[in-house]
Amino acid sequence: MQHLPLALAQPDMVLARPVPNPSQPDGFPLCGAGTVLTPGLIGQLSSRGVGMVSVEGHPVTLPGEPTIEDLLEALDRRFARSAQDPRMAMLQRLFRQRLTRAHEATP
Amino acid sequence: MTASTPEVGGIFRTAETLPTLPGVVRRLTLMADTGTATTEEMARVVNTDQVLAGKVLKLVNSALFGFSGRIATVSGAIILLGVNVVKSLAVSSAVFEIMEKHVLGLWTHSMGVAAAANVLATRLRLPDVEEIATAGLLHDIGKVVVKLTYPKETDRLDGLAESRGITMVEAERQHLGVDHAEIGGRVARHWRLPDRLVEPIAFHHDVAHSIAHRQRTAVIHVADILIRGSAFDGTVQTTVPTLDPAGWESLDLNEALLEAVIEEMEERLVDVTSFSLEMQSGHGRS
Repeated sequence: MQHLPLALAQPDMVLARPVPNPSQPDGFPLCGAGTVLTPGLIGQLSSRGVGMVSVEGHPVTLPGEPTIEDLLEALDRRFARSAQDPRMAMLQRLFRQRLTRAHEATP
Repeated sequence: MTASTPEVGGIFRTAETLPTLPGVVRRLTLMADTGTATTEEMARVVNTDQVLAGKVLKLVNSALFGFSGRIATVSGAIILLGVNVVKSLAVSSAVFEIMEKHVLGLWTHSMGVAAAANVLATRLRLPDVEEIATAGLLHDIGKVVVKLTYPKETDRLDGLAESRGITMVEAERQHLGVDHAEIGGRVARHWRLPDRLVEPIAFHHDVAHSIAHRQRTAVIHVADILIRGSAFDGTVQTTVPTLDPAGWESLDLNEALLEAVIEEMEERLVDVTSFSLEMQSGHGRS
């Protein structure tokens, strides 16, 4: 899942989370998870004042965004001290899986 | 270094004198202690400070708790969450600006730990998950005291921890003879917070020393580690503290549970980020 400014959203991206209505944050969302974006829908969301959307996969590399390799290296450094502890090794593996999955390209 | 050294004494003196909680929170504490006030009376006290009441309601309705509905009134919050949660949220709101001003990123970290604690406690079906989450908001309050007492030393500790690959707690113990958790426990007692909140604050790096509220303490300990592990708070290079076996055993954790907790936690953190930015941009202060 990636959180993107709506301006960077493209047709055929799939919403990973519902899009709340900016004028009624507690009301019904404008569209639900699983919705495939189209040019028309992106235009409608823009006109309703939506700024960010969450989409499946990690389809856009934002300027200054660390690469998956950078993130995994930093993860290893954070856990380096406790790598011998089996519970910490398990936690590190779970975070590694999450990072890798989150950066996989859109299916 | 022992607790009798001037350095440690200085920190403890600051801990006793630093807290300047709003009168509303002190009155709420007295009312909660006596146990005779009604919900409406307590809500009225909070509502006398409209700014504080607004912040409390923002926190109540934030992703920290994950309620699907909206709680519109302070009395509704007290009925649903209990007076201790509302009191802790009032304390958190009051110290938010102190946190932001003195320890960069501490508010964001605290929000993350609160959200993670809420998810973990809910999955474990523990009682009073909202109160456990508020312990997450306050668990590092001792860092503010340490920072205010020894600003230059604290900056050196940051660098020392990173260069030596040790945790901040270890750096504090080595160079100050005391750590932020112990200081935080003192502050929490000084604020007359209940032991259910004091223990998780005081022992979140040392679960084995928690006696009466070990499970709650363990939840905050694990939540802190999960947030450090995810680098949600931007501390990408910070060494993650090692899981305390006492914490692991008291919660009877396992891999499948933690995998589910991490997944739900990271979903929740998306909303926490938005909320944290909103608070920091000043909207939360209105």
